[in-house]
Formats: sequence, structure tokens, C-alpha cells
Amino acid sequence: MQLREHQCGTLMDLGWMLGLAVLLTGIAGHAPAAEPRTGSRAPYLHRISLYDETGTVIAPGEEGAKPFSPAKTCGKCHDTASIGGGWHFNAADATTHAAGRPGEPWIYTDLQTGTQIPLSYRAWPGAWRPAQLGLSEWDFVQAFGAFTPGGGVGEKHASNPADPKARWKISGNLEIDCLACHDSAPTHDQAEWSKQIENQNFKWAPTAVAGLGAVKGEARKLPEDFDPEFASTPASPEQAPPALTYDKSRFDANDRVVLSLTRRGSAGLCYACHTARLVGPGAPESWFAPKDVHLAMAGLSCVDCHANGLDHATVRGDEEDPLAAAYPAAANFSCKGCHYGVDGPAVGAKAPPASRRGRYGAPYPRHIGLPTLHLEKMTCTACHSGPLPGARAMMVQTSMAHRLGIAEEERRDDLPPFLAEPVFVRQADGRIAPHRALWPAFWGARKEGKVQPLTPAALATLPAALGTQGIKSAQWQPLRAEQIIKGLSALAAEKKIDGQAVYIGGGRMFSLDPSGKLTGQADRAAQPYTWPLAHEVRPAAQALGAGGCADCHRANGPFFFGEVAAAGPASLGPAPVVAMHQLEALSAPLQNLWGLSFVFRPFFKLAGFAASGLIAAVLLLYGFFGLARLTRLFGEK
Amino acid sequence: MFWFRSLATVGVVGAVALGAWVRARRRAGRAKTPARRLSLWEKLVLAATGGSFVLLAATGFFSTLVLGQPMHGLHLMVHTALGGVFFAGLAALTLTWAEACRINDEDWRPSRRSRGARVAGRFTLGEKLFFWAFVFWGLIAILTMLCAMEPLLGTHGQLLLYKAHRASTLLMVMGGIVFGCAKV
Repeated sequence: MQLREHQCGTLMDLGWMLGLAVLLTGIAGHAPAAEPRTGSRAPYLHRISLYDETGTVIAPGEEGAKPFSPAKTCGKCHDTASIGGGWHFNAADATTHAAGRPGEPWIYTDLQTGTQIPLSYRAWPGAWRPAQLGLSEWDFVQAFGAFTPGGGVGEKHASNPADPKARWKISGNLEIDCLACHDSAPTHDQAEWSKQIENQNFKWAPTAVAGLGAVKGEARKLPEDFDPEFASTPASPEQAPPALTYDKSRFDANDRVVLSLTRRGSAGLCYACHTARLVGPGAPESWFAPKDVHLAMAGLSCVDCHANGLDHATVRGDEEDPLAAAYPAAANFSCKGCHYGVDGPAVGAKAPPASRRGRYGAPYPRHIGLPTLHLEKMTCTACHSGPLPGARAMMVQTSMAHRLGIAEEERRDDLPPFLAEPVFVRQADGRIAPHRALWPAFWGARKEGKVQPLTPAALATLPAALGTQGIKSAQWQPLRAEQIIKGLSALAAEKKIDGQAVYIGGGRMFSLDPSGKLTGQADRAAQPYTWPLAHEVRPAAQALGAGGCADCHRANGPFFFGEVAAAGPASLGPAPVVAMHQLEALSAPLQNLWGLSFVFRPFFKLAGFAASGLIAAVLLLYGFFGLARLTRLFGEK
Repeated sequence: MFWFRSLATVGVVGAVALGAWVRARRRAGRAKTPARRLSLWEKLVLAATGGSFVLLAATGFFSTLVLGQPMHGLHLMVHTALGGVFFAGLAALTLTWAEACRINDEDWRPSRRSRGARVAGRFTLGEKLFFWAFVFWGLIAILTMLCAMEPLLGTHGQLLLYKAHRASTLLMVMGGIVFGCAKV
């Protein structure tokens, strides 16, 4: 009996333990799985099974095989939840991530309405939140998803279930496509990403980009009430859901594929979204365009400096990067951290031995003849980054703003949005740094002195008033003053907007006076949005100042007196220009006088050395007299 | 910057105290400096050198000691421009008074004429020593900045030149204060 009780107790204990084990297993199922690691620097061959969004292994020969899900496939071994909090995906998680210094915004551009307005989910001064422009997560992904690696609002869109336009159920989520940055296979086709997003084939996009299969059909053409779970024979072929045919040659006998994955992605992968090219007058030919010295000469790749761990909290490279608080090692990746060394002596101290210098033996800056004040008042990039300043800042196009990387027959150099570089701006930390600048242009409502942009929905009828309906890139012309007048009149006549109708553009706010005449005035909303420019980095021999002080310090020198045109999609007379010294918060007469003084600097120095020579000669002469007297004195004794 | 500010404060206070002490001692001994008349040229040289030196010290030390930052903007521009006046003035001053400030045997013997003060010629020994010290440190101050304008030294060297410039000018200021306090 006792034995029975004991056995019973043991069984009950076992039951509790099993229950606890099940509970713990359940909890562990929600916690990040431990990531298997090889501990080796040798690349790990990813010969793996692919999984669809339901977590089912993909059999390529099976009819109706679903597209592979990076989250389910890569998530088998990697903590995708942690990765999803990385810099490229966390913009909308404003509560958990610091905005950091301003970066390149998303620029909502509409040729029909003459709009170029900076947007960001991050709290960057001057950038509007997408919701302020009436853009839901669905709209955002439609407009900008082509130049994201997926993730972010592409899969975390539950916050806005009320968006009636959203078709997530049909399109699927735009998951983080790990291969966008880690696929080194020559068959990787990032341009395909854009096509699939345009077709609203979100969940098919990673499969198509990796070349694992061919996707036919467009989810955007499916009716609103299409239910992918109960897809029936379509009424018309156009209404068929996207069909996926896997490339069986990519699979082995066990239905596994070999993915050419790399931890250190090439610059080419980054360029898919981070290309910039100078355009317009003075722009170099593409084959002669300057390249970053770190890539061209030092053999580095983007990720050697813009590194991250598993959490994908990518180092941005600036000295004020908030990431350094969590990761002290991040300080090694700024210009200063790499070239002076974090553990090495302070800037200006005697050059340390090579073994104690920055990473990869980065050249220790000597800065021969450079007054140390420059190192306090300017960033390293001020002298070393971007194109050399000229009389006018140049126009630049970027992947994110101008969809570079997508083949277009009508690609023009003079299409909005208009970005200028290098624009020297005094930053919040008081230092001058080169930036890119965008003058916002949009239609808005002004109420109680504040301008609020009008949403695309509110501007639905505006193109008709402007005469720009359905205009294509090839025909686009800047809006003229009479068109702006028509637009403002139409908006006022509609009486749908809350406040006075205004057009922001070219650094000014335009409105109609009581007589119907167009008047422009300064306004905070018309101020340029600027963000620091760090590439292409020029070597010391090509830095500003390598040619002497007069590189900057001369009358009307471009560093202080170069002009930036407040260019926009409207041509309302000559584009207002802003001189660099205005953005640097410096006095023009003072800088001109200072620059002028450098004309006389050689004479000044010559006279100074001559005077010094004279004084030194007299000191020596009378020193010798004293010495002679001393010898006589000793001689007499 | 902290150390220099502290050193400058102590130095200036020390210089004022030393000047007051010299002055008190001179008065107690009822020593009298020889009466002298300056020529127009001498007045001009003295005004240019002294005036520019005072303004250089004011612009330089105002930024360093009061604002707590290196000079820049208008201060730096005025300072540099005045530097030109100063080195020209100092060269002229040296040429003008070097011979008169030559230290000779007479300087070491008490003069009957000045009732205790050591005077040989136009200037007392103290004045002569001040002159040579001022010229020497002035030369250092000029050369450190002229060299910084040339592509000779890197950031470390530039900082050393800057520190040497600050130190030499501080010594000149301290000397000036001692001299001024003793003379007033």
C-alpha cells in the first residue's frame, strides 16, 4: 500500500514535472530560439529547406507550392524577431528606438501636383510623418517599399486595420527579405523586388528576387473580395492569383537549396538602395564619377564600417550615434574612431605607434599646417566627403528618391525631387558638415500660422485644374505661376480644406491675395530639409585644404559663398538661392574680409618672418655682447 | 584649458602682487627713475607695440579665459590683423632701444643720480631686463603663430605651437603687469 502511495506520489510528481515542462516549452516557443553558431569565420554553407508562411516545407514539384517565407526559413536558426528591430526595419517603432541624426528621408514625389515632400517615421526635424500626408502603411509600402529590404510597416501594419485600401490579405506581408543584403549569388535580382511590389505580390517578392522561381500574375489585379484561402477558378485569366513555378534545378534530391549567403555583403547589394549620382551641369560622366576612397583604394566594403550584430542595429558612423551607448564598440566605426583609434591618444596628441592606431591600420591624420580650430568647428566630412564645392551646389539623384536601379527609358536628370549637394550646414552640435538638401514643395492648408500638407486624396481633382492629368516623366515641365494660381483658386473654390490654400515651393510659401494675385513669403514649412552627407570620401590629397588655406578662405570662396538653388517642381521666377554662409550661420562680410585677408597672407608671413629674423638677430647680437662681457669678466679674474 | 585658465589666473594675480611689492619697495627706498623724454619716433613705436599688445592680449585672453574656447570669428580676425602691427612694432622697438637697453657694468653699481636705483644711461636695470624679456617672449609668440601658418607641423605640432604661443604671451602679460604696477 505504501509502495502504491509512493508510486502514486511519484506519478503525480512526474505529472507536475511534465506539465511544467510543457509550460516551459510553450514559453520557450515564444522566446527567441538559441541561434546555432559554427564559431568559425569560414562561411557556412546554407544547404537548407525552404518554408512557406505557414511553416510548411516547400516541395518545388508540388502543384500550388507557396512562395518561400524568409521569416519562417531563416527563422529556423536565426532570431528574426531581434533582426526585425534593426535600423533598416525599426523606423516606425519610434517609441523604442532613438531617431538619431537626420538621415535621407523618403520623398513623396508627384509630378502631376508638383510635390516633393520629405517623409519619415523617425522624428527627424523637417520631415513629415507619413500619416500627416494621409499615407497608411499600405500606401507607404506601395510608394517606397521597392527601396526597403521589407519588414517594418510591411509586416507590422496591424496598427492601422481601418485602412480600406489595404489589401494585405491578398498581397501578403512584405517580410524582411534577408537575401536582399546577404545573397551573393549572381542570380540575385533586386530590381525584381520593385516589380513584385508594384504588382502587390508582396509575399512572392523574395522568391522572385532570389531567382528560386518564376512568378506570373499580379495580385493588384485581383478583386477586392478575392479570398486567397478559397481561390476558385477565375472568371478571367487576369484575375488569377500570382502563380509560382519553382526552378527545380535549384533544389537537390531532398528539396533543399543552396543559398550563396554572405555575412559581409558586397557594396553592390547596398547600392541597390544607397546609390547617389550627380546630375546636371558640372556632373561628371558616369565612368569618371568619383568613388569612395575606402572602397576604391582601401578594399573595404560598406559593412566594414556600417557593421552590426545579430540585432541588425547598424552603425551609422557618426560620432554622436546613440548606438554607442548600448554598444561602446560602435565608437570604433566613426572617422575619428577608425583613424585615431578609440583607445589611442586624443586627437592632436603625438601620433601613436602603428600598432595602436585605428582599425585596419587606417592612416593616422597628420593635418600638416591645419590650425586645430578646424577640427573643433567642422566634421571630418566637411573637408573629405562629397564633391568639391563649386560656385553652385550640384544636383544629385539617389536610389530612394529617384528609383535608381530600375531600368527606365525615360530617365531624366531634371525630374523632381531636386536634391542638392554639397550643402554646408551648421549641425545641432555646432559643427559645420556637408549635407544634402531638399526644398519641400507641396500643397497645404494654412491655419493659425501653421501649414499642414494636403493629402493626395484631397488633391485628387487638382491635376485637372493644373492641366497635368496623367503626365509622364517625358512630358513633365515645371509648374508655372499661372498653374499655381489655378490650383490655389480650385482648392479655395472646393472649400474642402481647413484653412487658406497655399503652395510651398522654392523656399517660399505662395498664396493668393484678395485680388487673386500670387504672393510669396517666407515660412517655416518652406525651409529645406537637410541631412549629412558622408560619401564619397576623398583622400587627404583631394581634401579641402590640400591646396592651401585659399581652398576655402578666399573672397567668394565656395565653402562660404557657394550658392544653393532652392529648386522645386514649380518655376516661379528665378529659383531663390541661399549662400552657404547663411546655412553655416556665419557673417558674410566677416567671411569675405577674412577670405580677402588671405590674399595678403603671403606678404603678412613674409613680413612676419623678416621682423622675426631682425629681432632674433638683435637678440643674438646683444646676447653675444653679453657673452663677450662674461668672458672678459672671467678673464680678469 | 582648465590648467591654462588656472595658471593664467594665478600668474596674473602673482604679477599684480609682485608689481605692487616692487613699487612699494621702490617708494620706500625713494628711488627715482631718470627723467627721460621720448622722441616722436619712440612714442610712435611704443604706441604701436604697446597698443597692439594690449589689444592682442585682450582679444586672445578674452576667448580663452572668459569664453573658455579657442578664438574664432571676429576675435581671431582682429587678433591676426593686430599681430601684424605687433611684429612690426616689436621689430622697430628692438632696433630703437636695443642699444639703450644694453646691460653694462654700470647697471650693477648703484647710481648716485638715482638715489639707489641702478641706472646706467636712459633706463634702469629693471627696465632693461623687462625690455629684453619682452622682446624674447614676443619673438617666441610671433614665431609660434607664423610657423602654425606654414605647412610644417601636424596637429600635434600645431597644438604645441599654440600652447607655446599662449605661454609666451602669458609671460609677456605678466611682465607687463609687473612693469605697469611698478611704474604707476
